[in-house]
Amino acid sequence: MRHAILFSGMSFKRHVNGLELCYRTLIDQLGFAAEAIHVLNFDGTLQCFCDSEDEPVGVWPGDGTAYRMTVEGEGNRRAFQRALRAVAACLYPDDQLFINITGHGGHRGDEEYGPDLLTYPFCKRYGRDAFCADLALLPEHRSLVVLMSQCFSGGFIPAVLAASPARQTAIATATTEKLQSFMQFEDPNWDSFQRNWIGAIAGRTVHEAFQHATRPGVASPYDSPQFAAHPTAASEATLMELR
Amino acid sequence: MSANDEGLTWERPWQIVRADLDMAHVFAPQDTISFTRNGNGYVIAHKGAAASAGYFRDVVLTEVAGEQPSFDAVSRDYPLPLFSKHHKHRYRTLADRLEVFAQTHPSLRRLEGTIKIPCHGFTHQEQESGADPHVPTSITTKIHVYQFADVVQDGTRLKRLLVIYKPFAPHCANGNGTVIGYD
Repeated sequence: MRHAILFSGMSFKRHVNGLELCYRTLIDQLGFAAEAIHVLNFDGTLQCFCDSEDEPVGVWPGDGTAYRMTVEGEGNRRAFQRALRAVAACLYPDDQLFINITGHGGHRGDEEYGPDLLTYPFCKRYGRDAFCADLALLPEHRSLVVLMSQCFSGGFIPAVLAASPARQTAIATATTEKLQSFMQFEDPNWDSFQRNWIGAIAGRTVHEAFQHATRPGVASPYDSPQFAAHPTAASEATLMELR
Repeated sequence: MSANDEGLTWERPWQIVRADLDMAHVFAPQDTISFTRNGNGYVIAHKGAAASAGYFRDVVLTEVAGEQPSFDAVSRDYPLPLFSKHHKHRYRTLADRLEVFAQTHPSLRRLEGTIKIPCHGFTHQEQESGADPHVPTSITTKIHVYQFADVVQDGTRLKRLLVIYKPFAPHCANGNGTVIGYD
């Protein structure tokens, strides 16, 4: 079985759009079961930072239709831990977990702490080590694929590979540890790297999707995308169902 | 108890001691900045690693009247020692607290204005990053500047704490963050 957690903490609208793109890709192109996808965003709704509570959410800019994903929790550590526990309860040795983190990242500048996720509310920092400690509580499984598009996301790579209980782990990030990630300047409805990777993953391996997303002319020159896999064979993983 | 002096002035040199990573190339540790009254606002003079880049050349900060923040409301962990690598954890914890404090107290006395933070402070950062060569872009970023009396112990003297806070704003590409210094 395949499971997914889609997470954004202090979301701007483009991050919510990215979660919806990911959700639709998993459902429509990769055949994920809707009940196997846990969506965590901002305050537990489809809203984002600076939206009025009375303001309608609007339509998804991808095709002008209503958002389809159901947000089940806030974009913070407590909700992420709850989603991990829900996944862990039905995660079997041959299963795969896909985690897409978007939204904002921070970095105090202390290398020993590494980067943080900026979570709801008040940009509360969910540090790299805390994130990886939570991840490490999952039972052993076949494959973990992590896509991160927040600033400083490359700083998660070694820690995620070390903490992962999966037999194969692959991680793609929008940046190195010390640089920021950027929206798509020509269309601010999207985060550049996340959109490109998600747009490429159907029918490709995770590394092929990374290569596709980082082609000259496609990738934002301001991003600094990174990819790592352990063992190396994990780069051949796909998000498609095993036959 | 920390003083709550509404007469605190801005016009003095401030030494920056730490900055979050996305602001560290603008407010580099050991840089000195000072504010000088200019008409209805304050201009920033900058001495330090990247002063020649002129990040503050056309910046005018506006004084916003409000409640003078008391450090007691932020943290009981004071007086703080002068910043050093041995105390960086205390300053990191302080930065976490200051971010929440600034968001939950929007009516504090402060200076505020808009600066432009470059995507890379130095050419070597771009070269090391693996990013494609590109023309540096800058991120328009609002800042709030606060000061707190009697927070940092320097011998027998208590120094004022300076906090530059980057609010979380949807028109800005990056997140929030803090810079800390003292007089």
